[in-house]
Amino acid sequence: MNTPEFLAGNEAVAQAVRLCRPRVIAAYPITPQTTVVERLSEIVEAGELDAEFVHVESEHSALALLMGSAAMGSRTFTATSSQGLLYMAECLYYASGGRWPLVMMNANRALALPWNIYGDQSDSLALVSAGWVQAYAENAQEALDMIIQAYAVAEDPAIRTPVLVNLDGFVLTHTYEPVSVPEQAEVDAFLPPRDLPDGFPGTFRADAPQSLAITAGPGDYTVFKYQQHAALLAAAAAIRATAERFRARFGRGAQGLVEAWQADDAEFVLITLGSIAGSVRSAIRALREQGVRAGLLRLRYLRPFPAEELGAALFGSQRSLPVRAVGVLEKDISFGHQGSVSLEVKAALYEHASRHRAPAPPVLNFVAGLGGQEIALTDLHAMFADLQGLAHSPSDDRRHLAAPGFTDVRFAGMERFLEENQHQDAA
Amino acid sequence: MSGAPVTAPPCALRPFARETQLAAWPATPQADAGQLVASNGGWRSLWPAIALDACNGCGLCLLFCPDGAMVWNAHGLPEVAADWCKGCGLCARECPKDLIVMQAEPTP
Repeated sequence: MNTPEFLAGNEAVAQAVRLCRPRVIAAYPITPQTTVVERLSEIVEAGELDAEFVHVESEHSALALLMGSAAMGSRTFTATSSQGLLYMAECLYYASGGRWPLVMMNANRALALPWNIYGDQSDSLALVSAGWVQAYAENAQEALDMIIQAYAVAEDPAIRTPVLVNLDGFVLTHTYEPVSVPEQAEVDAFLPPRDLPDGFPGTFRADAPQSLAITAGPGDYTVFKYQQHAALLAAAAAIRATAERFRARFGRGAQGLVEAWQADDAEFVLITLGSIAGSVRSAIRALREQGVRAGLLRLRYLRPFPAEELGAALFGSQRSLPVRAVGVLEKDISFGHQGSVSLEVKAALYEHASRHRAPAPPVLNFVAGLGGQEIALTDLHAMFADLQGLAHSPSDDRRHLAAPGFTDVRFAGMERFLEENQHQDAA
Repeated sequence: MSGAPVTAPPCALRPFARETQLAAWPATPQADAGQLVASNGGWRSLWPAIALDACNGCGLCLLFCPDGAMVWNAHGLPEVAADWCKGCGLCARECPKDLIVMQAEPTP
């Protein structure tokens, strides 16, 4: 084992990218992504990575440039955040439709307006349907590991789907942690060669020119979209197999798309994603000491959506006690409905319940951490208390601020308006 | 400029696989250069009619055509590839001798 280095999340990503040896990096700086591409430009400048680093005029151009590079068979990298991710939204769909195996890092950050540079997950969740694999790292080590695995998954000839690796802005991108950085030879042995093989779909050679990104009319279009969907679903098995191979070589890393922690006997399960999982573990440790059977399910990947893994974790035969209440904690709100992750979890629970003719547990959606709002340990304890309250007396759950019509959506940070809101709930 | 064919054979229409097997379908939306997967003819409302008698084969129509729809015929003169042409009229505007006129589609 090599000595751990002391790296921020962004630096861990930069080191991972260096080890994956892309030939082309194109990026436009945006807080809190900037230090990733700053570090990479230094790495290229120092000759530690033989790559073309292109300073593009926008995020849209960054992704467009990577598509062209990938069409020439080159491994690529870019990183962005927030407004930048949404600015390249059009190209996200182009890249997944063209089936180019791009890898991009996103620093999860709030969306304007109001202007806010701090972390939340609204940006990547707005583009969850763009046809990319979406991964969410909990810590800097996992971020490094996910980047390396992302290339293996994206470039799998059966998958050929771009991968977006998400890191919570500042909380993860700028927090320093000990990170084990693998040897170059180990990563070389783990990944395919840095150039896509001749004839890889989506690529061509100059001596056999092709038209790329061409039209497909009604009917034809559906077949391409179906194939894209099938490949993204198949990516679940590829992600698991890649994680297993990674663990065998590097000795670490979760295997599944969902990581279960203290979950098999948990009556109160909090489902979440990203760096907040660390605090949730702390809350669970304290609750367990008080005899509360609390547990965590961390969604490491949102696409492909791990519906079956989630069902197995919540209702599988390994469980010693049934789940009494589920919370979904996310830094996002899909305006006019509820959090995007909550919608996905509920859809999976409904499918599971209807398929097995079983009741689904009640679900509370905790919308927290918007625009960098702190999620304190006390907030997490309050969430578990809400879940317990829900399970014990389902009718007595109205003391909390809830969006009109959706009493199961709770906005953290709005408690100070609780009194004011009582009349709304009554109305 | 005239002589060597620019697009030969003119205009291969090669639709995406029509087989019932998904495996026969292209893996990405791409095709060999010079192929069309679907005819552009449906875009056209006017057809570029060329008065070939006075054409000296300068080739500007070939150069300007944004869809590569002009090809050389066997006599070294321009010819419109029907599946490529969208009827934009750029060739008619650029022809230095005004020999190309946008007119109603010829009836087949």
